[in-house]
Amino acid sequence: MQSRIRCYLIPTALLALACAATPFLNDYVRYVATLAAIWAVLAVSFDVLLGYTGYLSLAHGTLFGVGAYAGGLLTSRAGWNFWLALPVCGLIAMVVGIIVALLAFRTKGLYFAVLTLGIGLIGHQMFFVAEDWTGGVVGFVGIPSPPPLPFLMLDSAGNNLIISLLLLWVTYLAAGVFVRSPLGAASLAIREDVVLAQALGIRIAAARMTAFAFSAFFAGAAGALFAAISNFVAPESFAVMTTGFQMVVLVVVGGMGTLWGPILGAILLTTLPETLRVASSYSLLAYGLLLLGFMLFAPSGIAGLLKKGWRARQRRTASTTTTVAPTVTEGAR
Amino acid sequence: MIKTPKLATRLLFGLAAATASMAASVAAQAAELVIGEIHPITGPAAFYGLPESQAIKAAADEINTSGGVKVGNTSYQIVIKTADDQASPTVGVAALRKLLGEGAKFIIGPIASGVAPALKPIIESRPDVIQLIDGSIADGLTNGKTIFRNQASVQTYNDALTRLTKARAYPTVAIMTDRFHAGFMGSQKPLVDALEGQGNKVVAQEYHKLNDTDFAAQLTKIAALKPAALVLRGYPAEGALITKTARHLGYQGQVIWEFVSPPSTVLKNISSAEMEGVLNAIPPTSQDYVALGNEKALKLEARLKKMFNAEIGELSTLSYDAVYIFKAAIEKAGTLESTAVAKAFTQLKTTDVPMAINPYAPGEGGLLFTDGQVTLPGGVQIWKGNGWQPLANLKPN
Repeated sequence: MQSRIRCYLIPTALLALACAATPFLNDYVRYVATLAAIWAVLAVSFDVLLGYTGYLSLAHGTLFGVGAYAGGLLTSRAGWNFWLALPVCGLIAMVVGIIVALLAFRTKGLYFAVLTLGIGLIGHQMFFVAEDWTGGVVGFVGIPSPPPLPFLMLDSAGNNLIISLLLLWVTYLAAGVFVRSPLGAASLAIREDVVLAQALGIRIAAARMTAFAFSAFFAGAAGALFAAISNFVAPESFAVMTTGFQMVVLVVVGGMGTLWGPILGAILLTTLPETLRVASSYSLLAYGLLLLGFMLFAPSGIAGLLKKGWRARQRRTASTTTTVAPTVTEGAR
Repeated sequence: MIKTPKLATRLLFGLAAATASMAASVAAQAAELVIGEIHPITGPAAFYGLPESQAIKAAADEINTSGGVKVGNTSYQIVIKTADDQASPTVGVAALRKLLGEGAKFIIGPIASGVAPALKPIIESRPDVIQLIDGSIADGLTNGKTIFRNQASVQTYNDALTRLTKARAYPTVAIMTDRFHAGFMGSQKPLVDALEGQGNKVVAQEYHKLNDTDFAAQLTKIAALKPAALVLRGYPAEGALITKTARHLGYQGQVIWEFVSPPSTVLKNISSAEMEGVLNAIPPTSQDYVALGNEKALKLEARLKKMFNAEIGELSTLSYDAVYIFKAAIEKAGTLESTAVAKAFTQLKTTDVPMAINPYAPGEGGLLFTDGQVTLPGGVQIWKGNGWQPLANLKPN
């Protein structure tokens, strides 16, 4: 019961809280929150692959881009409804992701990362080259905004934020279902020791392919939402060294292998550059230092630090109770 | 006996008038006109953006000290709100939303050709927002309704270049372009067609990107083809390095740049001697006007020195003019209401902005904007000594 509360009720309550706060925020705050939610979708889904399965993919910036351009093409050129285009963009990115995975899973460890890096670089170049579809360096202009949600009577900025939060909620719950499923358990076994997992008869191919496809689907859906909210996309947003690298940072800083940690990472790393705009020349330095700091001193990320703090607090409370208890007993005598 | 009440009445009236006048004065002082500006204040294009931002503040200060923007009986003091786009589309969108959230309805900027198209749909979705682009040269940005530009278009740059290459009759030309520059990449094909059409055969088209430092591969290929002219399209830091590398690889032809290039940025990567004779096909810049002794440009230079202890930037006069264009449009509209101001923009004549430094050519009926775009004369500069000088004669000496 407690586990169900943690898994479903807390995120649902937080979603309701965030939705209730939306009308009281100004447009700028809502836009930053929307970006944070989209990054959180990317981070949570990427964590399923990196944190739970142990595969570092640097091709996910491209998959995010595939979803964004697919969203632009389907909604602005083919005239599709946004709600239909959103999952279809996820499916398109998932198909591309499966092709990438079929190539990439022929390698492992560092080679896997390098191979996906190469695919990420090729994908980024493809966004420039396929000008008829992507607009090339000039970008894809005129992507329609998401339609207004019924009954909520929100303006565009509020509507965008609620849709982003809903997508994050769906991603989080779906990731929760995945990691608690037999495939999720198999993914964890692969992360710990792939040879041992194979020896135990775990079907590693199915587990890691599902993890890759899962992360690709939500990267594509997040891309389609990002495109609709921005009304414009350009290849710059999908470069390996920006988006691809940033996903890794979000998960590492937030806490690999915890679904809620990457959300905190996304919130921190989206709002930090906005709040420190005056020092933006140093933003890459700040990112690098954060990553270095967490890798050296808190490898389990913000989530790990919070868990550690919580346990320490519980221990302190327990020791106070045990110290106080004899006194009470003596007094009773 | 009779005089006293009269005096008292006069005094009372006088006091009331003075109070009303003071109240009006206080009200006038409190009246504010918010103008937002979006430029790369930090990041790799800050050498363009920071001087533009400073010029906007200098113009606002000048207007405010000389009585502000007059609308009816009210004098508005200009308040400039600055947003840093870091020359990135995503950051630019956030910056614009921040300005809109702070109540800015009149926007100046951006410069980055990657940022301007990202802002366009947001501006167009807000009919109450008017944008005046003072930097980006990319095609297709203005709409002549709410989006205007007082910077030249990339076509103006290309026209100056093609006039030069035609006058000098270069038989062969190689082009090296920043692949990420939306304005240059978008206009590459028309440029190549124009060059080929007038007999300048384009023998190579190579690419690079911002922050690249190694151009040996592209330039080895170009040097082997020995084109009479090498056209560079991008940013000055890379332009300087490409010019330097081309010379080191033995390229002997004419190097022609096609971008705004502050000498201070250029000379970080190349010596003056190596730059000698390089041509630049762009409209005259702020520094040209200063060199030519333009009084208004010299005044702006002095104000920037006093306010920020900063030199005038190559695009400073465009940003300075942008504030005066807003002032002229608002005063012509007689209101701050966006629809009326936007209409006034379309009716502005070049003579309505006497403080403008750049020599905007009047369009039909003397109008400043045609479909939202000004006409600025193209030109060619030559590097001599420590900087650019206007080139009087396009023919080789």
